[in-house]
Amino acid sequence: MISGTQDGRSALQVEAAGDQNRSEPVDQRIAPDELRESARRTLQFGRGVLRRRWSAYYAVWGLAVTCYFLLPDLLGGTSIPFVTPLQGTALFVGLLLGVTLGALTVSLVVFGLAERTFTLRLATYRSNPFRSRDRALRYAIVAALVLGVVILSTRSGFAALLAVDTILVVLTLFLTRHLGRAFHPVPIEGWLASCSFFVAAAVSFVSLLVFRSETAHLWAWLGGILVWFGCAAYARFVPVGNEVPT
Amino acid sequence: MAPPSAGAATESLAGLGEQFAQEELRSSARVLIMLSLGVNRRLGFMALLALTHCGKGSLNYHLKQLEAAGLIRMSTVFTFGGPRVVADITEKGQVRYRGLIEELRRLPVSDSMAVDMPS
Repeated sequence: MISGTQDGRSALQVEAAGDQNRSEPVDQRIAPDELRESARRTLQFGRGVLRRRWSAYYAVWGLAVTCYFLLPDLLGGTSIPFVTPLQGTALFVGLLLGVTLGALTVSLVVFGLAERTFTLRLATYRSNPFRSRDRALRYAIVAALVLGVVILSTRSGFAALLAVDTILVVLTLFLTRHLGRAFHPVPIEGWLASCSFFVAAAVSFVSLLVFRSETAHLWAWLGGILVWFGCAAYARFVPVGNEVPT
Repeated sequence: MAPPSAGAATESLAGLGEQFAQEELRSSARVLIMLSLGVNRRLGFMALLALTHCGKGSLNYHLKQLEAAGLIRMSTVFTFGGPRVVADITEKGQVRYRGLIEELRRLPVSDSMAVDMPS
């Protein structure tokens, strides 16, 4: 029960009810439990805001990964009039850089919001289920990224595709970690987005290592991307209860 | 995390008293607005209405108090859906927000919080 009033109502409820009867709210010193109740309400409300922000993350990374997979084929397979090979390469690199920078910017905004939410949750509930896992995951992410970049810069063909897969799996691990920190519990689109990329990675690894097929690799990732676009649309347009207004 | 000692709890309550003795935070609605803006950095007027469950007049009053204290900045932005009134947290507001988080962290954990802790 929230302290602050004799009838058990919180000061927030009193202030909201007071709007019906008074023209100006009455200021009153708030109790410590009111601070905690406010934090709890902020977290509940922030869940809706977060889901909308994550929808941009799913959409922008879905677009970026689509570009990574399709742009080389699209630009390499067609000859654009009045565009020299050098200009074509510059266009390709420019597009990839633009998409990547856009995706990274959105990621920074979303992860920043997730971190601030996590800080507030930690201060409110005093529970950090990630402490033990954080360090191991950080090392794994750095190791996989270095390995992926080294392979990508020195090898081509299957090895390069495996490196791309490794980097994407690392990105998905990073996503899953931040989803867990931001939400309690993780919403359905969050699970779908994470699972779809892990399944795509598994199918892709098997198709490359066992069947030596690039086609299955491409289709696996395109399937994952489609799920991400679906997650983005769901998180953006489906009503999320009373968490946040549109 | 180890529970705070009795001394730390008393110190925390004293700190909390200092924070809330200031005019701009002598309202749970304004504390709620500050916490939400601290996390989200910017929120629209409609979102703040839904958050606080206040009437428009009351919310305006609280926002003006916070703006007068230099903790938030109100502005009108143009979106595809038309002009929107938004509130942004200022540098001073972020300092105050961090103070609130610090006080929250030092508050003793009650039994009800342990029960309500999300899994």
